[in-house]
Amino acid sequence: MNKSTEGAVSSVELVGISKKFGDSLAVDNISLSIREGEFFSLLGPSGCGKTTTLRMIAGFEQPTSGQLYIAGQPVAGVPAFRRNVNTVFQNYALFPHMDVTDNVAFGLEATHAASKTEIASRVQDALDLVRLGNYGKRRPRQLSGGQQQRVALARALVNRPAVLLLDEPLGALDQKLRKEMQIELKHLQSQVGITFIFVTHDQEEALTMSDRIAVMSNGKVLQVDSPATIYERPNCKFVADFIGQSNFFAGRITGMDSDSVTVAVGGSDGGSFAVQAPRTNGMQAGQEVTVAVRPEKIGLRRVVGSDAIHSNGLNRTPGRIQRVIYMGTSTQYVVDIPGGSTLTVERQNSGIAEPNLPRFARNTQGIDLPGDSGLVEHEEVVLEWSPAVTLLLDKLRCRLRQ
Amino acid sequence: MKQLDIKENRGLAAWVRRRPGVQAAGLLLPGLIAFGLFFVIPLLIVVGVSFTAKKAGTVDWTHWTLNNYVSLVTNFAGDFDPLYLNIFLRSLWFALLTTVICLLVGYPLAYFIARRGEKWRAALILLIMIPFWTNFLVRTYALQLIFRKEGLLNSLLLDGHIIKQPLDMMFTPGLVLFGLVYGYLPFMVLPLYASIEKFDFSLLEAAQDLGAGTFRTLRKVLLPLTMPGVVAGSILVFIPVVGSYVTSDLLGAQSSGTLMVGNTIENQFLKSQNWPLGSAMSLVLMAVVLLAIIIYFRVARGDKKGAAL
Repeated sequence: MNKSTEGAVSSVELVGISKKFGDSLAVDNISLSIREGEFFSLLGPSGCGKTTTLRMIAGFEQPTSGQLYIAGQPVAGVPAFRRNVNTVFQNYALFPHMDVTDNVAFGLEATHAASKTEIASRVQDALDLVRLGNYGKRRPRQLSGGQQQRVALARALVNRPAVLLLDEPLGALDQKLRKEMQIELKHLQSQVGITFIFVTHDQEEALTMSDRIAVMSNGKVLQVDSPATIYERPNCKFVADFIGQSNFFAGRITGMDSDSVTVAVGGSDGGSFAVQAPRTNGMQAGQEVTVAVRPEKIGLRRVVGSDAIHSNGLNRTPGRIQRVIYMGTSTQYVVDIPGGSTLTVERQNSGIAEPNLPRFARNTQGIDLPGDSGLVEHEEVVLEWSPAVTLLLDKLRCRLRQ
Repeated sequence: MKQLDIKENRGLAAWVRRRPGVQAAGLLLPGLIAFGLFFVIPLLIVVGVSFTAKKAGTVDWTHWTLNNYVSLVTNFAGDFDPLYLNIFLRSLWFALLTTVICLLVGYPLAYFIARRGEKWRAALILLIMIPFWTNFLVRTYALQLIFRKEGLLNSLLLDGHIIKQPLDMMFTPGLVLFGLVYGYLPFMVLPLYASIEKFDFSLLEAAQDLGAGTFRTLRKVLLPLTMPGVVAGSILVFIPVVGSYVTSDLLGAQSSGTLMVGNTIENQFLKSQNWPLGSAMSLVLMAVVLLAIIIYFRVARGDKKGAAL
């Protein structure tokens, strides 16, 4: 979390930043170090303080306490118009009385950064960069949402800021356009090499585009990591739940050996089963824990006969399908398991045609069924997943780790 | 049912319904009658009177003449006399000053109100409008009570030992100007407020984010986008002030430095009993105001370069 660990230059650094609005604490003592040229996302639900954090970097809000550095320089008291950062606003905030060219030229003219001819050529370059080279004479209201978005990008990038701040810039676009813009933004960022700080509540957006993500909740930063680490090794229940989906169920550590622990799940009334998980420091026998498993990491098998399956080292529990939800690329099964919990299992729809598959599956013990394998509600199944993908969270809902 | 249909097809209503032209004329008629009765006919009467000869207390319709217009710029001997011209120019000058001062005071005020919370905004706008509930004449007399020699302001200043001699403020051009600004400021603030309130304030942050300081943000973003309010407010102040006479009458008492066209016209009708000359002055005033407005629109349009939405 500090610049010395990576040896990279820190583009924006927040040290113990807090922001109070009246009595409410919007941002609670956060420290972040954002590297040069990084695509960094602030991810969290609305009201988590991510936009306030962005506005403090932009200079629209002053921190109540803490230090803020941009390119190594402290910026406390430096007004927004003197900071070498630019913002792409959520509603774009394009000037309606100016055409696209004047909008994009506004920053260069305001700072007297270049001569008239140089401004003209830089504006044209910026518009070409966002593929709006021929739209210079249009007014913002004559453009579609996606085009306005790109004008806002060009207007910010033309100033060659040290940092580009993006405040939920894709929020107003429809799903398809949003996907395109995600790719375009990422591409643009690698082209210009400017540090991007991207605020979003959309976890998929953050996972797709970011080099690193800071997950925020209630004004605090819960985890800062790469998308894969955030997803595979969430620090706490909030992160596991907010990014992707997770199954949570309660258990108690009953046994430990050198590299794994055994957790007993479920009570005496509803039956019980044991779960293996990797052992980490701080685990104690008898400890109450929450087990977390991603839906797509759980395999599904049909119960055949007495279901005598050889142990294959996987965690295993019987279950009964409660609901089947078809989702296009995959199918979700809500499965009741012993102990009164339900697990959500997600399997890819592999495209193996009905109705041949059930017969095929019935004859093949131990096969992990795809989503479109014809499983129906109330069917008895066996769920399996690897101990390696099994996370244990402690009473404070934080992941037990070294 | 059937019978009724036939009846309607033959009736007057049906006849009208088949003729859209007649229908439109019928719908326009009440408006046209009101417009003709209250605007066109009175205006024509004034135009007519302005070409008649003077006859005490009434109009001599038998003599038609251009003398009324000629005498606006000449004396009895027929030589050039700038008496009325100066009064016209003074009125335009007072109106221009009033408009500019109202704009300079009203814009920050309207901006301040527009940036308050919803509850505050309603309360502050109400405060702006409350003076309208009191008669304009009464409010102008109240200004007299404040500013005359033995008035409230002088006694406060004397009691506070700020001045030794009472200030002589009555009947000065400055006081007339103050009275005009006081009386017409709401007409400036209300349209300004309406257009500033619609303004998207995130544009100010965008301008600052792009490196524009306060003045540049004001000039390049806020002002062009609230220009409709500036234009509307300026016209609403300028036109009535050019023709106003109560303020200059009560606070200027027709002393030579404060006399305005409105007072002169009033004098022609009520004191000199010269209706034709009064009518001629009214019409010239109308023409001058119209011209001023046209020029103003031209300039404003040039300024904002199509800023209006």
